[in-house]
Amino acid sequence: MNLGRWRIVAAAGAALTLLTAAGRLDAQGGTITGRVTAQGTNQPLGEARVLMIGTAISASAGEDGKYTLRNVPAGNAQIQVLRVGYQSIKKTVNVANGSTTTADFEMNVAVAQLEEVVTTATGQQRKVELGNAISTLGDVGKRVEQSEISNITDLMIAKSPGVSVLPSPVLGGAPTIRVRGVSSISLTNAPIVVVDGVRYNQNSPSSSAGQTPLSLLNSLSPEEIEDIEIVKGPSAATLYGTNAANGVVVITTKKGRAGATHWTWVAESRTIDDRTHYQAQYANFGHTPTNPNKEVRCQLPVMVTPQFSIEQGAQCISDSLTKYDPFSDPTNTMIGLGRGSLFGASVSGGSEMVRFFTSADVDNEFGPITMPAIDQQFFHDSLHTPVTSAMLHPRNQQKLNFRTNVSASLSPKFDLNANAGFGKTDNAIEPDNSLLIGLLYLGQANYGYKGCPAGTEKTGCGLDKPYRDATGFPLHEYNSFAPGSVMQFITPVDVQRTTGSLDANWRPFAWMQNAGTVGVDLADQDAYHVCRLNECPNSGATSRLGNVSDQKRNFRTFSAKASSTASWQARSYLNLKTSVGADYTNVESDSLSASGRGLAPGASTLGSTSTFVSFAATTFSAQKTLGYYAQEQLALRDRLFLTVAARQDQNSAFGANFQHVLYPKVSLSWLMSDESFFPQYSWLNSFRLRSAYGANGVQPGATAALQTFQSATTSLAKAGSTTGTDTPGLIANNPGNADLKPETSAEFEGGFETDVLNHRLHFDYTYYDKRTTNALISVPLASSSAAPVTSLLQNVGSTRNWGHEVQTNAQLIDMRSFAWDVTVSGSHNSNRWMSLGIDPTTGKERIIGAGLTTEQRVGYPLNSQWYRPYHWSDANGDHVIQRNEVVVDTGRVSTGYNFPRDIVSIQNGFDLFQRKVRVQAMFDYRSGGNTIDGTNGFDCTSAPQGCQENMDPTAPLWMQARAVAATIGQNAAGKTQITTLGYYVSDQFWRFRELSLTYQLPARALSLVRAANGSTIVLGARNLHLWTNFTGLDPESNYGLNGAEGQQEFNTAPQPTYLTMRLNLKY
Amino acid sequence: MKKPFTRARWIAVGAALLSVAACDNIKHQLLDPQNPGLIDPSAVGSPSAALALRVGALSRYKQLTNASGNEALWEYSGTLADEYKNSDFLTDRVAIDQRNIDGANGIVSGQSAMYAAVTQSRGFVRDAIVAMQKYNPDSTALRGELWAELGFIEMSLADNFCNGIPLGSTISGVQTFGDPLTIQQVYDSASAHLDSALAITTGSDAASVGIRNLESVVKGRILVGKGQFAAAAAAVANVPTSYQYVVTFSATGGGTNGLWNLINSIARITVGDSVDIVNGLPTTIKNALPFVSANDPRVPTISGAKASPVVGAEDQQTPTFLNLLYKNQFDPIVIASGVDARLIEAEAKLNAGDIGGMMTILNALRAAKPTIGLIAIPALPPLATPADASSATSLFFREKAFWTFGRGQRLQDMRRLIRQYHRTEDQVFPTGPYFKGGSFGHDVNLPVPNSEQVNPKFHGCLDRNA
Repeated sequence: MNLGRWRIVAAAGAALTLLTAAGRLDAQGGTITGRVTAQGTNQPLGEARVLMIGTAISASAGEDGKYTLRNVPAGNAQIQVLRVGYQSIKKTVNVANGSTTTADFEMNVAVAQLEEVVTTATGQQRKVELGNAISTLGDVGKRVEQSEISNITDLMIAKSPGVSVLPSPVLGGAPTIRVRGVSSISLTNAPIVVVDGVRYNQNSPSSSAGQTPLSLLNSLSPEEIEDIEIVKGPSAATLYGTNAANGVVVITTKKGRAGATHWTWVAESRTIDDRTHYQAQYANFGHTPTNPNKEVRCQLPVMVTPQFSIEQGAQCISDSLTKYDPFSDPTNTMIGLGRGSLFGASVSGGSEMVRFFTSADVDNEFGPITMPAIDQQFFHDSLHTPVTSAMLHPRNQQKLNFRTNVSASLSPKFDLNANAGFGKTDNAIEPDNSLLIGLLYLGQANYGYKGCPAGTEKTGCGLDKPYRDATGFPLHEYNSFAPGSVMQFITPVDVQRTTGSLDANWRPFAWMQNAGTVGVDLADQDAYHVCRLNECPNSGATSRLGNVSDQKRNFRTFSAKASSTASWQARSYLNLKTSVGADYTNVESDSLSASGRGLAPGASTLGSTSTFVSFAATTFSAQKTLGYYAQEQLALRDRLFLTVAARQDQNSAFGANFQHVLYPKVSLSWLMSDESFFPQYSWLNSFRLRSAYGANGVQPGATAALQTFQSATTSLAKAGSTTGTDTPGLIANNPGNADLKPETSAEFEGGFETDVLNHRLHFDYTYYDKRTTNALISVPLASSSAAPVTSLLQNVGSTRNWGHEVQTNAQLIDMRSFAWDVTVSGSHNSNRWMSLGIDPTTGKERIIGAGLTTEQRVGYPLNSQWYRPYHWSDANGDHVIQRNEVVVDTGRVSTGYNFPRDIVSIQNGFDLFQRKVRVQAMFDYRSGGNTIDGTNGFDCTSAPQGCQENMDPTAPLWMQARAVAATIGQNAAGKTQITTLGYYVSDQFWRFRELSLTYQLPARALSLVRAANGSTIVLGARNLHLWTNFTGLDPESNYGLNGAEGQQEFNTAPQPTYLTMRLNLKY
Repeated sequence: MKKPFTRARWIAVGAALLSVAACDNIKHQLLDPQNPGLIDPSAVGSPSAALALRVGALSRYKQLTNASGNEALWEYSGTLADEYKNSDFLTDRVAIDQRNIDGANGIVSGQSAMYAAVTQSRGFVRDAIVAMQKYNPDSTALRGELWAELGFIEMSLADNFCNGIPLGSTISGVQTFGDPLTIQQVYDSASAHLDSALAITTGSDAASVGIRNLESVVKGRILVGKGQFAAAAAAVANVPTSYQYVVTFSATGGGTNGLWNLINSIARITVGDSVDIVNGLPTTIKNALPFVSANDPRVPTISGAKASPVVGAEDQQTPTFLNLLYKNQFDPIVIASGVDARLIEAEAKLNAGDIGGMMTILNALRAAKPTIGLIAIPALPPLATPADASSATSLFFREKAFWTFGRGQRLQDMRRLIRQYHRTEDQVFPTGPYFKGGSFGHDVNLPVPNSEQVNPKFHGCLDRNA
């Protein structure tokens, strides 16, 4: 269907909707008011959602449980009340024109603490109406109060089946969030984030080379969040438009409730501990047969053993073995105890007319990386230089957040919400990813022994260990540079962020609701990196002349959307709801950077450098999407719900030959247990079937479709001269692709959910199958063809992602003195390349990355890693693996998935002592993939090669074999052939992720501080213990973590343990 | 809303919304891909744009020493030869020094690695040649300079990579894959480009003469690679010894001299020598020239430990020796010179059996005090005439190695010692125990890497012969 026809159909549909709606103008309605309370206790249930089924009329109960529905059409009204933690109830209320009817509701406690109302692209909707799964975190405020939660990652990790969250191990670092696996190798697989209806930028601000990227997500404070919903795939996210194919994280900030003004004060203190068991390095001191007096590092494969002689190829005779781990050496370790604190306050309240929520919090933290005591001493005694706090604790963060949300009911038919937030985050992290100055690398790659033989300090420390770096800074057993030297590298990244949105709801009639939202997300980042004169490691000839770089980036997102929904009770058993809407998103960014060199003593600003080094071109990027959608929902007897929808998008990144894309959607939800024919069992409380199909897409890069040239200013010398003049030039850049279109994912999902045993157990199962077509792939080009680029983005492939998700909530014990609830969620994901397109030159399926470790082939998982296998045996029985005992195959094989396919989490909650105390514990499991043990892989293959399997004759044989295969491996013909497969190991682990104890302050304590009920003191912990066979530092470490799919641990910071004490006082 | 909307008003509202949605102008404004930093094709169709494309193409010379910020061809061909040795810890880099390089080696293979950077440059130069031909046909010298650059790039591929080098093209977005060619075929292609250059560079102005000298030297080097020594000597006969064609650097004009960066700043490689510490003992490395210990002014070096500021090896263990041909970050690098011309003439004499003639040229050069880049070479004492052809050959290549140190010629010369002078690999390349453990391998060239396998016509090197 071409654009013209689509417009006509859309126009006709919308006009018909409006005409139909306009033809049903109602007369003046009535009012329903009443109170929502908990059955048994008669406690008012604030925040209960009261809605009239089949209309747009709804209200929230105030803190006193009171609600009011206005403009209710005369006649029988089906009223439903929903609240998390309670069973929903329905009641028919008769309303007369101009009159007020009272209807009170008493709700029963439900075990399943699930949200019954979710936020969709067309507004709030009952979950029962949806054919797709949406994960809701529920009462986020309570979670934040009662758990060790410092950021969005902490909130989301292990909470939803099918959602993989790889947390960043450093403060403010970017998490990798994946929903239902990965579908793309060239575009992002990250879900989009929407806060209060506005697209929220989650880019990584710049960090210095060698540092884990930071995340703009970090500037959102968990203290401000009311709810997080995860819309999982295209079947659910169709109406969110292009770029939502990887899911949508919908975040709603806290809003005020009608009632008395409530104050909440929060104070938190925390410690951050790195409990990683760092691996010691070894030194096998030996000598060569020809020079008994000269010490050499004796590698196991060439060490003389009773069964392996000099004649057979041995090269050294072992004399002694030492090992050393600087991180467990009190004088040399740089692992200290990090500390943090949080102070916050919020106030909320208001009337039915105007409600408000205002909060502010300050969060300061420094991590466990601490300048070793011995380096501090060197600064004091020898350099006579003070150690600044930034040098002492190079991983630190100061966060400041303000938020004010105001909701106004300007009339019974018109609501206006204004949401505004401001965050300031000052973040610094140590160089943790650098091969040259990464702190963990410098410690891990130590020389395997401590100290120096007497008299060798100036020439070295025996064997192969230098005593000082080239500047004279003592290494104190570290490789290349001392931590104290590296910690002079000051790298603050400051982000100031303002978000604001205004959304309006206008209900001119009981059957119509119009909504509009406009909002902005503005983030300014300043990354300022400085090494003062004669500071920092001597990693280059100019590195200690005083270096400054400064990069300023601006991120701007503008969102606007409008929708109109008309409801129509066509028959007593049939409700129709028609929605039309449009939205527009513009995501922009630009940057400016410069660097200089040559500082006077003490100087540290860019302007004070003597030599201008670089000035990076301003880059400007804008990605714009304009979409329209229409949706028709049919509700049959309020138990069978059918939704049909379509969305059309146009996008600035599409090619000139591709104008728009159409995403269809259909979903079915059937509350079967409400049907008369459904068998009635006392133990079965409800059963719902659901199914959905929908499509969505991910756009190409902002300018990927355009043919472009780039400037290539170069220094050119005239004939006979050796002095150049900068001369502006051009070279071809992107050849463009006028046919470029979005990568489109279409997903089917089906499942069921049921409540059994008097609502004590809730079970939810979902199967999904997502096919991604027109997969955008950067197809490598043969560089010999001399094209201006070495790869070209093309829509050539297709992938499949499928899997299962289950979640169970159970109230195992529910007594007044003791209760035990459990939530278990799990998911399993599979994916495959279905097609990579036909290579026009060969007529065969394309292979991307042929011959490389990451090779994309049809029939194999995305990003599968290909290695040469190896085989080994201790043939001579000397318990040492020699080169000829390892055979590396010539051919390479796929080693499967490189991300965890199986995710399980178990959350237990225990209520003790008449529910005065609640203990929560969560365990998190992942497996099904492999990840790179880069620490050992590097330390075993690079000087000084002091890893255990190279040096220690008692090292397990399989470890020795992998080192041999990676360093001096040979094939069956005896020709050198190496493989690092041995360092690509299972990512399986169990982690004791969260533990918390919440104590409700007793009345006596409350009276002392004049606080109200609900005030608590909480002891929390995160990352308490790890069970894994992973051989590196931590299977959740991720070198160069930047949303990339290829996780690897490489001397990267492990997950630290947080211990928290928090006081929540309510007034 | 006290008064309900009428049906007509709703229709009006709906129509208004739809008209907004359908308005192309508004949509165009909303969706226009504004990217003010981009240069679109409309900007390159003019004489001035053609000149800008020429400048862009000439910037690609820098890929020989600084491949988009990465290590580049000259550094690692010199490492595979004996000019440099590794002072780093990455196994792929060590493998090159150890002469044990496979097609997956990450320094050679990859979309931004040195092979890709050099071979891809051909396209930019061709773009400029086409544009200059179209918009500035009378700028013959400038056009000739570009043909010379194209020939130089292809010659560099043949000098350093194995047999099996494809030379494809992309014209108007259409790729044409090249068949794997022997290095002789690649030299033929390069030679033809130089013929194109020489045919149009006929001006007598200083700029034209300078460019013609460049073309002559490159043509001479190609002919030497093809074993046509007399023709090579004839090609360079008019190039004065003092001639230099340099590539220059600046902070805003293409970045850093890559040789300075890798050797003198981060010390990833260091100037090589004939002696290493192997298994704790000073050991003579067979066939390696003493570039450090000879203290030859043509290869000025200083220990990194004595430099100011001190420069330590990237592996913090290997003793570093800096190359003082480049004292500063933006010092120029010589692409072609009169020294090269004289060496081509000397080799022609050698091949003609005229050892005396060769020595005359070599000793004249030693007395000439030429400048290499910014470094003025003092007069050097004359050399004694060797007794036989073999000694003369060894002397010539030793002498050439010092004159052309670090300028991308040594690996080709070592390969030619095998290919044209019939020496064996273990008589030419560093051989025996390797200072970082194990022994030297047997590679005599760089492989065309696995990343080239997206070319369906390429299935690996035809052979790894010299």
